Amino acid sequence: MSMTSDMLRGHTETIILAHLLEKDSYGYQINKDILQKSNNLFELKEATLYSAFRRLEQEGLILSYWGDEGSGARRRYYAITEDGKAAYANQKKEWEQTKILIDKLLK
Amino acid sequence: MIEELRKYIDELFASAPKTRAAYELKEELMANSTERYFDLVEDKVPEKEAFDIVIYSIGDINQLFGQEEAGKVMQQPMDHGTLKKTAFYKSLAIGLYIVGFCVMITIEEFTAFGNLGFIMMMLIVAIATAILVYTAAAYPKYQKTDDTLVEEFKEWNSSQKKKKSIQASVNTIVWMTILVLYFLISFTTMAWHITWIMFLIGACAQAIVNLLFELKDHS
Repeated sequence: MSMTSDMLRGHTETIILAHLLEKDSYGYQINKDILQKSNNLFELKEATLYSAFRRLEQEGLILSYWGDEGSGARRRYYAITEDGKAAYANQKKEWEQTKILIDKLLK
Repeated sequence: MIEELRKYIDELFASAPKTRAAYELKEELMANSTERYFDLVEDKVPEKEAFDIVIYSIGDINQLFGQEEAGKVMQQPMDHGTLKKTAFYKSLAIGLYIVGFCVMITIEEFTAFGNLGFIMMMLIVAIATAILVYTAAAYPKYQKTDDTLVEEFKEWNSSQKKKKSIQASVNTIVWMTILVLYFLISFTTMAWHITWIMFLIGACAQAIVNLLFELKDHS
């Protein structure tokens, strides 16, 4: 399981981009989605998620804005940019190739 | 429990730099943690347990501020020009110390004003010390290399230290001046019984310097 966990962490940025491709989202929402899609097995640490957000934002792949919830703490939403979409397509392609290669090597 | 969560997050950020980036990160963390907490409570998780789960899921926040512990600042190699300048100032100061000593010997040997030699030496020593202290304080040890939170944190650390060292140098210069004035005035007036009062004035001056720095810090 720890291998899966490490692999997941290694692809944090691509996972975030994939989620933002569907719709704008925020930290906890993305984590909830990961948990759901992995049948309650995996989740990222908040800290891991935020450092990935910062990196992506710095590279201009995502943008952030504050939501306006009437009460309580404000959510920070993230949106994907055009550069982000291109980067996602690239990383996705790389992953497909890696997948094929690993499959071949582990046969 | 929500209050405790806020307190916990406040503590996490207690040593963080007071920058916009850090503040926003704290807000973001607070919003996400609160929501996770309420979701858990809604799922009938006991409050205490929900609190622990939320804390656990935050993970190591320090990775956002870099691996270095707070207080440790990476030394940045100085560029060639600055290196040359500081070397020049340091040699100048050391040269002045030697000149000061020579001046004292010369005046004491060849003139009738023995005391003047000592005063002249103290004056020159004061200038040399001021140069040394200034060089140490004036050149920043750390320059921001990129615009990450980690860099901001390091720069904040470095500038805090720089502020402290400037304050220390001002204090040194104040005391050095007082000392020189003390000897100068005492030897010329020979009023030794009263001139010690200058040290009290020195203490006052130091208190004022510290106060000024603190006021500047707050504004």
